[in-house]
Amino acid sequence: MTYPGATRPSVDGVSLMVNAGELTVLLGPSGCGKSTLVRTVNRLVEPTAGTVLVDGTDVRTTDPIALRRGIGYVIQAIGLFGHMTIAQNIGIVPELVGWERTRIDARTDELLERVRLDPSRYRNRYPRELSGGEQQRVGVARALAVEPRVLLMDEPFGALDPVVRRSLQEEIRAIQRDLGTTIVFVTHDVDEALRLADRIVVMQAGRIVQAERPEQMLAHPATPYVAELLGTDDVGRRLALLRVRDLMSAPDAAAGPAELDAEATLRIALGTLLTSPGRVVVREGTRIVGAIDLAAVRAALAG
Amino acid sequence: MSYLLAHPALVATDLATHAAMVALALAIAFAIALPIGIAIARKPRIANFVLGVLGAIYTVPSLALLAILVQLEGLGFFTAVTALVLYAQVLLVRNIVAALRSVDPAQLDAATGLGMSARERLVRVEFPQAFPIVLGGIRIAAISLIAIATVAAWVDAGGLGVLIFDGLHQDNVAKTIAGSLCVALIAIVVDVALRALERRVTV
Repeated sequence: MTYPGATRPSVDGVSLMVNAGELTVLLGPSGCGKSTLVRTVNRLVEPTAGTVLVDGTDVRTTDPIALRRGIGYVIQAIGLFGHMTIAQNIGIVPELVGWERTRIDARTDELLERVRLDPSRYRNRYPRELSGGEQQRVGVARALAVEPRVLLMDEPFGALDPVVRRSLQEEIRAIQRDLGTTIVFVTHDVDEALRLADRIVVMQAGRIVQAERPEQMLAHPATPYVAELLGTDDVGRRLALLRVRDLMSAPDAAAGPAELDAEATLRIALGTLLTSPGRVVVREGTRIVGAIDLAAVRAALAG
Repeated sequence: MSYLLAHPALVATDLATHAAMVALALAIAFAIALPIGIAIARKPRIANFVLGVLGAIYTVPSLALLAILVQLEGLGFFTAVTALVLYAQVLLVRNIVAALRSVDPAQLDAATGLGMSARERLVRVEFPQAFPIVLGGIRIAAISLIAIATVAAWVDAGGLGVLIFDGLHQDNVAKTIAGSLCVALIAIVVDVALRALERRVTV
């Protein structure tokens, strides 16, 4: 993909298969072509060469309007329509595709609840009355309105403060888990990528450097650039991706007295493991489900 | 003031003609300016050229423009209306272009990305937000035309210019003042009314 007047392509020689139902993160510095690449999917950018397939169909053979209505789109600048209420913003695509009024209203309330905004409080307010985080919640709701199977998110949380960003990241993971939406998510924030991604695609100067599961990429960066970008020597990052459940072995009568929750990340669990002389009991609620010790962590990091 | 009180019917007729001339010219001018503005708003080079041409028309002195139009259309009301339509173009088109360009680019990107056609985007996103600024352009054009329309008396089009120029010819200061006062008065009334409307529609 080369822009008119550009001396080199913004995106070049890219071949990427995005798995259905997964959250794929395009990661890289500004200007690496990740936004351009994602915008070829809904034809906001037309490639000068090459093909983009959605569900096996070349997007160039699909009417761009119909294509875009079937693909959710969330951008960093949010872009809520300032003269429309929150409900009108969320209901715009259903309205364009001709849903009944009652169905649109019901769907709007459902979506507001989905993004944790009380419908009775937010429905009739205007975007300018909302905080940035609330606005982007509406942005996400608007993108999901007609249940798209694909959702494109271009640095959606880049302008939000860390606490709000964390909460929206969790929301997106939950939505993706519940609805099975295929999400392509653009970011330059490594921690965000590691937290969200089923698969990370690292881009550099318009090319894909590595596409891999986060824990695999941290363990085996393909190039020094990937290693540096991800900070693979930061053990804490790797530990944050591992859960106690993944590393525990069968319950052990000799373990204890220290206990850990099965869902805790290793980053949280490490303190307990370091201060306990023997094996630690792993619980799931009140039930004992396993045992874990430092050796298991060492083995996981070595692998 | 004395002339106004002495001949209310005469003044009223001229005032009605004046208002009708401006209103008709403004309506026609807007109907022409709107499609031009939409067509050129997102094409900076063409927009500069078109606005340059319209600006040049605006700089032609009104008497000279009327003299040219009389050659084409003869004397009368519609010749004056034609001149006013031409003068209003640059004011209206410039404002329509500025209004459309003022719409937040993120909203345009979102509108397109969500699957709005160019027409849907224009009607649902661009127009509603551009409207207050467009209205500002209409107000400025209306006030300019109210003033310029006095010259229409030269081509036998009627209006308040008749009072002003007759007063000058007849050395009747009261008559000239009456005409001038009426022009100022409708300009002020239109300005206040359209400003109020602008405030109401501003989102």
